[in-house]
Amino acid sequence: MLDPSREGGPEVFGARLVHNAPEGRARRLLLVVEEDIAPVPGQFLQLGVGGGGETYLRRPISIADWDGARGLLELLVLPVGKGTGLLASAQPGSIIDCLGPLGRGFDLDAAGPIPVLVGGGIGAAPLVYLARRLAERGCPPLTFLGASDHPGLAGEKSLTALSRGVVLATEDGSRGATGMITEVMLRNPGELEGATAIMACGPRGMLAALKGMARERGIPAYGSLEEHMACGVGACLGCAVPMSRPESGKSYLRVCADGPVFPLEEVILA
Amino acid sequence: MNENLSIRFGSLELSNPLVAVSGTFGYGFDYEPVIPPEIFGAIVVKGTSLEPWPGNPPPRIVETPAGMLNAIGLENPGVEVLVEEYLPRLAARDVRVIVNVVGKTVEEYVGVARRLQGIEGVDALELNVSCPNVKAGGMSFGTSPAAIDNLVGAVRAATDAPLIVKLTPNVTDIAEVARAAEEAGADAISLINTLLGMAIDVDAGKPVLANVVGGLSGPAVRPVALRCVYQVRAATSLPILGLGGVASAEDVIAFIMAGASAVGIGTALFADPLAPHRILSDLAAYRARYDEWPVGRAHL
Repeated sequence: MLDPSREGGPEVFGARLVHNAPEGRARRLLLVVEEDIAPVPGQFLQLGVGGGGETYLRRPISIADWDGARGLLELLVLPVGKGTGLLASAQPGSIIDCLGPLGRGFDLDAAGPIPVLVGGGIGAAPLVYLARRLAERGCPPLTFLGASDHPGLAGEKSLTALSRGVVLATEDGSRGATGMITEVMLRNPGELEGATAIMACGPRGMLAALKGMARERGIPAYGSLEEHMACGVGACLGCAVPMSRPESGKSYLRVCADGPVFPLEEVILA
Repeated sequence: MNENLSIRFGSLELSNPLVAVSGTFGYGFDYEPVIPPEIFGAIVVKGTSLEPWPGNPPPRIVETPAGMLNAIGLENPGVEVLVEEYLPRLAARDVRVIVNVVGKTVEEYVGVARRLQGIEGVDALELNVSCPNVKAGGMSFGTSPAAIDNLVGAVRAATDAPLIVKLTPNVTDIAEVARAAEEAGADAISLINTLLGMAIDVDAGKPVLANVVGGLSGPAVRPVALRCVYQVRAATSLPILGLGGVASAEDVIAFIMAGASAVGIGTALFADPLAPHRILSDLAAYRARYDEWPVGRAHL
């Protein structure tokens, strides 16, 4: 298997914000990057958010899309706290302090001809760039997107354009089918016929349900985990996730450096 | 590296006073190419035990005002992996390496020191008697002068390497603990390890950290660290590696003036990976003001 992380390691760079518009409850940020950062889908950036001492650490944010020819970086940011609130309210023209790209992303070679993408809420963000790269390889995915309600859905427009089909679900029924996206998938088992891999990002509960579904069908499933981080590069061991099969005194993996994308069978999601 | 930044830290000649501190810089390679290990005067690698330690369950970290709490629990693969895998890679690089040593018992500390005796590329040992995040060993050694005396004496007999003792600020009288380390044969003191703290998730109604308590680091602890360095300088003649919230060249100079002859940087790396580059560049201007590094100058 190819190592789905970027060669040469991360760099520190400033990205100029050129566009900041709402996408449901999230914000869609477009930034101009001078460096050829060439990220792998699923990789993330550690962003300095300013704000002084109250937001001392960087914030890990997935790369939602990357246009290398134009040096355009897209981020989807859901303001959930002080740090993401500052990012979401950044004004066009400001320079965002970036460290990255970081982590191990999705292995495109493992997707097979019929990849299924599953996004929960803001977890849809990294799937946009993943779908783009899969479509470029002639394997556009079948995409399932879920959220609690319509404003919670992210990436719908881009993923609709990049996928062979999109199934939407909201728990309150305000958009698409009613229920959790994994329930909708279970109600329509035919949709997964022939699927060669599941690649997902969203809440741990959603990933746990997908792990079970993939196991029953005997197909590989990969999920991108979200976790609070300090360094983002693997040094501090702050973003631990328990391993399914501990080995020789090692019980945890680092979300930032061993992930954020893991084969779901390798991690405990409860 | 700029030669005029060199400084003597005990028996070690460092290319500059800046040291990457244990637990924030892995084994030296995680930040490459943004931070090559060579830019530091020395790096202190992750706390190393005799056998692998799994560390604490997550959540392990939480941001706090001007800093963070961590309860990693000294996760590390054990001294054998350090010796077989990481030290040879570091030996190929032009960097001074200090190994942070942890244990649950005196015998475990001694075991690590013995395994590292004579290994190429180990410039010094740093005895961690100050980690607040493990149930046995760690800080329980560092809060009692008698336990320090016993432990440092035993490790002293097991190694020729310069022996640094890393102290906790979670004591009533840090000078007393430092004097105990000096009398037991320590070659240097490093301080401070993290301050014991906690955070509560008011929505969940429970502690944020799975370990309940954790160690506070970052600029929030800087005045406490500076005070401890100042007090230990006044109480002992040992060289001091000062650390705690260092984020600028001005901070480095303040620690030197308090009595440190090497100054650690840790949590600031997370916030700003370019901080070491900026500090070293700014330090050159400070250095030019003095005939020699103003170690201890703030003592009246």
